[in-house]
Amino acid sequence: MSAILEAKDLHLSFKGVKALAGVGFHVVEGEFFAVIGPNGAGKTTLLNVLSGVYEPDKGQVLFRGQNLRGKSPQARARMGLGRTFQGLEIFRGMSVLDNVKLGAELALPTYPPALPKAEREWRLRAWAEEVLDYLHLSPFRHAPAGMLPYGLQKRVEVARALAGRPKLLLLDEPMAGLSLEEKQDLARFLLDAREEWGITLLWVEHDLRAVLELSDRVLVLSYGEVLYHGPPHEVRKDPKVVEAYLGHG
Amino acid sequence: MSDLLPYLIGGLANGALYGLLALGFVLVYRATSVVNFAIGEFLLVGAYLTYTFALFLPLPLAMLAALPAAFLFGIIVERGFVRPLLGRNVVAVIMATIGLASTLDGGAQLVWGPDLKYLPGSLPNLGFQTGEIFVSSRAVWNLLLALPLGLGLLWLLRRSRYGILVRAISEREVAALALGIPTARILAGVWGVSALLATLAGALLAVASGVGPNLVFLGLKVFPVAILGGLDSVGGALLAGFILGILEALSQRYLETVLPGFTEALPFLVVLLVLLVRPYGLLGERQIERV
Repeated sequence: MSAILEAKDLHLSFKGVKALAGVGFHVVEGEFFAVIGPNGAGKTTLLNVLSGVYEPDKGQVLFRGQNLRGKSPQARARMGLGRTFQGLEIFRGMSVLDNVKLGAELALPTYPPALPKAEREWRLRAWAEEVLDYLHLSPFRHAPAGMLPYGLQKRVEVARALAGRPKLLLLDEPMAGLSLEEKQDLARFLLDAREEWGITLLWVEHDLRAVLELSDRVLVLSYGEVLYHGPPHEVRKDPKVVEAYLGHG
Repeated sequence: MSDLLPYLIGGLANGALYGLLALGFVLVYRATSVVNFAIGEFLLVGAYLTYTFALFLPLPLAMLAALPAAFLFGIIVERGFVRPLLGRNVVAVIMATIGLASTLDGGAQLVWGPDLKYLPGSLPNLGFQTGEIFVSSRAVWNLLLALPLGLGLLWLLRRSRYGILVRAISEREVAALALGIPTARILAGVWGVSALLATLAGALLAVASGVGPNLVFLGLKVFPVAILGGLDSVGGALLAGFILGILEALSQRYLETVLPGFTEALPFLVVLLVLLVRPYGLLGERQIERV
């Protein structure tokens, strides 16, 4: 198994405040990789650096062997780097189906180029419907996305990202604000998507139990530095992690 | 009644122009959150472009030729003035559009001079008389061009792929980026379309009453129209244009003799009253902040 993503010595400061101070890690193809850490640890900043919202001051990100420096968020998305956001970033005024179809357009270049336009449109729609069905969103396909309950809106955002057939999907706290049942549903959807579509997952999450149960490997950040990088069952035993989370005993 | 109708027809003719201009203004506001204080100057430049083309071409062709030129002008403005300020404070962008407005004002006077210019040639006369009522050619042309264009644009925004992309960007730009949507190109196009709409309004105005520096004052009308319709509502802009056109006509007919000058203040009064009842305008979307 090779690394799909490699981050080397990432540094980023905002007006003197160090958000990332030498963060390095790698994500193996096909794994479920978690990033955790206390508030303000730099988790979302890290996602923003990976997806191209910020350019790091120093260090580099390799995605499938390619250096991402200077690549726009759009270019990274087209290379197969998908993402969802903390807080909802769905198109509230559009139907659920239109949201997912917009996501699915990212995968258009994978269709045969000679395909007639009508056929392409049909396939796009069929694929969007498949994703909706997969995430049990079909009954809401024509509802304006903003009118759905919170848990479903979160699912729409995941569906939109999955529809673009990303190689690696970055998820920013996908479970925040969900009920236990909704969390379990989402976890199942994500694990299935990994199986079925071969998607590698990197998620930032606060729910420690979910992280330890689901993830293959874990990265723990604190104040922009890596505290731990390894399998989940040992993270609790790591003295530095215990200190960051629980303070001095 | 029959002496009121000509006023109403004139009101609709003006309303069509207000609607077009407000459409251009709201489109940019909705897609980019930029309040374009130079919209009146867009109209002015558009009118002068039409005038310049009309020196060489028959008028209908000149009006047609001015549209792609205006589109290009809009893109240049976006690239040169708006894009560099992306992500800056809202006030900075507003100040930039005000600066742009004075620059364009001055520039237009340098190029075309300060005096009123009449377009050579004219549009085919489409005026007609039914019974007692005379419908002017100006009213027919204004409605004939503004209504299909405005409604067509609404339809495009709602239904076309391009429209869906514009709405996606205007609603959630970060998400649009993450989906690989070429936001920069699309937003430049929006500015182009905005300039195109203002230019058509300017051309129609110029055909009716010539081109001079004071055309920009129509730009001031855009604010009451856009606010009345709802700043983020493209359909509302068109509707509010007609409403204000008609209200002005009514005021001209009934109030101007009693309260001279009232018509000038009317649009702003109407806005005040409407905002008391509907703070987001007639068709504007209610903003809910989720914290």
